[in-house]
Amino acid sequence: MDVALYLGCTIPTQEYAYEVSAREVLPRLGVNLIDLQYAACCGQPLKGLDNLGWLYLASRTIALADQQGAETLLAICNGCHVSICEAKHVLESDDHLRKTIEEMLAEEDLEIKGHVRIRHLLDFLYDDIGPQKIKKALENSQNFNPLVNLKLAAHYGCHIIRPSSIERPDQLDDPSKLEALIEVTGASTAKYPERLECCGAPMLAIVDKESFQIAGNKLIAIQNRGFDGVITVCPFCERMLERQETISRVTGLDVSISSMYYTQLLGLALGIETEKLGLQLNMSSVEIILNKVTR
Amino acid sequence: MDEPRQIVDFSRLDFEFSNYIKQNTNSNPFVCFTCRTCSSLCTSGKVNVLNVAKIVRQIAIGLKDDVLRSKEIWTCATCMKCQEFCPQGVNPLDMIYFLQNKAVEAGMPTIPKAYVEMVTSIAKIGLIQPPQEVISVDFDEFDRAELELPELSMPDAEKIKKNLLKTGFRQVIKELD
Ligand code: SF4
Ligand code: SF4
Repeated sequence: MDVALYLGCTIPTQEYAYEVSAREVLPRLGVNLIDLQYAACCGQPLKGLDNLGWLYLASRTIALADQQGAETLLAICNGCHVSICEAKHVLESDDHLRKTIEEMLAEEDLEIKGHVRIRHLLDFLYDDIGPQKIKKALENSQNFNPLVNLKLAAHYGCHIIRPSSIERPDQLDDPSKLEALIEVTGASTAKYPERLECCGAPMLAIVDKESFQIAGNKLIAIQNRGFDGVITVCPFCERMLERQETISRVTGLDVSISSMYYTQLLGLALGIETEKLGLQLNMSSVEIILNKVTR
Repeated sequence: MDEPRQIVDFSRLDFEFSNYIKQNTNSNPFVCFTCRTCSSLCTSGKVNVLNVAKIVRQIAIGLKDDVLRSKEIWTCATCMKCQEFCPQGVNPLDMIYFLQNKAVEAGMPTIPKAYVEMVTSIAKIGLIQPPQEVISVDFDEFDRAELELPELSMPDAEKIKKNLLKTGFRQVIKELD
């Protein structure tokens, strides 16, 4: 299955662990990743500065995918995904804005055709590939390592389940795809009350102390409920939840729990070495998970 | 936010602004019945930096200057809970985005530096920041090459900048040039 991989800004400039593990794991599920060329920012963090500026950047990404003949555009960041999906909705429902954007894109010889399907890692793995096929890939893997000793909490992140006015990878008030994907690895999971809370990352650059408090509140709840770790699918969420040293210092909470990308978790179940999954870059207490899965 | 307490001056009401917001956003400040569902769910409200129900009321009664100058509007975590769960379909988040846009247009000093830097970087290289060196838990430094990641395909940033200058971003790109 060919997909155009769009990494946005944060993953290819800083959150390398997500990129490394996605490139390692997805091909083993029969996915052929073709990098989207000449990609720029999706515009999401700057929506507040100017709506047209945001719409231009998000639409540009759609137009690039169309131009490069992609059938599926895979955005593995929650922010990129919501940005592109909202832009698509605006382009389809507002002729005036669409015309303005078309003129801007024409300057770059780009054009919106609107053919490309937009996917996030979550719905791509759950709906396009499917838990059954992932299970088979695991069982066929020579080094298959069922993660049976782990109890893991799913962290979806806000932008993957909202807004309900457009199609999102999972449900608004009771998503379950990430739990299902965690269970495929052999690990157990449970829906916990704080599950759909925000990680606080969008506030980090504005009011850092308070954003650490938000992340800390969620992490300590997960920890106190007896989970070994938390699994994420967004570079902003993951980066925030990994800053546990700072969170503990600023909030006085004693946070120490594993946090990792779903692609890293799946890689562990496939028996891939930790270095190849970028786990050496992880700033959270990943040893809690690693000690339980090493054979 | 630690802003000095200010008594609202009702001689400064601007109802045109309230109507203008209703007409130009997917939100409606006039149907808010102050149930405070938004505030009780609000991510930034939980740490006392944003009182979103207050912002909605301020808009409804036309306190234009107060909301445009407010630092609070920039602390929204964009979690969209207010948008989803308001029983009256007010959509406070859409108002907040709009207010932020208007604050940029008006050149307010409250615009966070972090955003200005991001836009300026996009105008230069297409991304909010250049690739960073990161450190591992053992304090080893890594970049893309060391992790055997493919070289990044960078966009033609000159063309992007030209287009960005046609948008409200021009206000902030100019600032750093
Ligand atoms: S939830 Fe809606 S109606 Fe209730 S206070 Fe907030 S904006 Fe007003
Ligand atoms: S979107 Fe912003 S204002 Fe609305 S609930 Fe979330 S943090 Fe609060």
